[in-house]
Amino acid sequence: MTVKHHPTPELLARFAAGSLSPAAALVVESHLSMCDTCEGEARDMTALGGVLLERLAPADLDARLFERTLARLDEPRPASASAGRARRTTPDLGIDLPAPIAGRVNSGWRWMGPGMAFTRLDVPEDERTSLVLLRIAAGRRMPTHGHSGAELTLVLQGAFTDEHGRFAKGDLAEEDGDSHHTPVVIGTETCVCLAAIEGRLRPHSLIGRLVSPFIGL
Amino acid sequence: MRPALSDGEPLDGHEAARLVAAIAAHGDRQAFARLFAFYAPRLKSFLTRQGFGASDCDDLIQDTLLTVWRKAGQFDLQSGAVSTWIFTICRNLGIDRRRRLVRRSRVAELETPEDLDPTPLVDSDLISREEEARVRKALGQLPAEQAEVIALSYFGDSPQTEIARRLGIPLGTVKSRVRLALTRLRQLLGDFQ
Repeated sequence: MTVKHHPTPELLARFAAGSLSPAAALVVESHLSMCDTCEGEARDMTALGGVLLERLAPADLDARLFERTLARLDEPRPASASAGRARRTTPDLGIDLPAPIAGRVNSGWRWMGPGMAFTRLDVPEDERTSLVLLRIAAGRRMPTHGHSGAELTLVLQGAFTDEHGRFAKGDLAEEDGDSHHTPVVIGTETCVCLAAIEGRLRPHSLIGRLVSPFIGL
Repeated sequence: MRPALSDGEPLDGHEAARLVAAIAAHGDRQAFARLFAFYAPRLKSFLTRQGFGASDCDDLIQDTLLTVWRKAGQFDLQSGAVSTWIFTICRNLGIDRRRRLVRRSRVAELETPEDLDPTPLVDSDLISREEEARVRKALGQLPAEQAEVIALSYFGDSPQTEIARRLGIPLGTVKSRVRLALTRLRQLLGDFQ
């Protein structure tokens, strides 16, 4: 697999700093699981956090914070979290999902038009961003649309093209507005994308336009 | 006991690792005090920039340093990067706290299980002192203005407006400055590989 479209350095930095919304972080993390180059760069960006921490100007602390912390050193250690409840069986979507999102599937594919289906993934800790999987049949053309919301789209299977190029498995499309798309699924394989859509779904956004009637936003 | 040292005194990577080793070996409270004195005020700066209020900051600083105390034995004393380790502990606790707050407010509506795994992000155990030193060196070779742009954008809660204000440049050029600085840093990191 040759990934051609990678996250921008800013996106990787925000990911490493812990500043991305949970849904967006899952898309980036899924990309890292498919791209060794970016996995290495995300490590550099994480080490950058450590180096920058050393250089931050110290802030004033509550004078008693040290004593309060010291008093807790002898507390019994919390039992290490158990491996967690056995996951409920999740619907089989018929594709291999990247590990970061594998446990997030809640419902099967839902029809949203000829050759198009979606499912919304479970990210209850995110109130601002929706995470969806979208499945589009080969040769299908999406409607031309303007774009006004931040969207991260990762190709998991198949490929599409638009004005920005060809996006195949592992490629990440980063949209922050102002762009226009006419994405067309190419090749013979059904295209499956993972998308984080920020804010209220906007009627003109790439994925938002398609799924908003179905997820009640 | 008081936190030893003034918080301004630098702590180099080897010294920090030695302190973690002393905690691991015999629960050395003086060593803990020195780590606290250096890192706690800086963690507060980090958390404040991430948008946490004063009481959340205090809780997260305590929890971060308690984790350092408890997990010192698991830290790779030979080659681990202390600053990056402490940074990732604090960052992950912060992410976890934000998630719990949101989930608690939505749980009635969604009835989701409480045990979804938090995103592990990048495993800091894999980041070595050598890697951290490489990043430190690359950052040190950037022009001061680019290093500042990176520092401001990395931690800022509303990065672009903050940078525009601090550097006195138009909002519209902030994005390209950040991109340029990070791209240059990446080139330097590549050169040092």
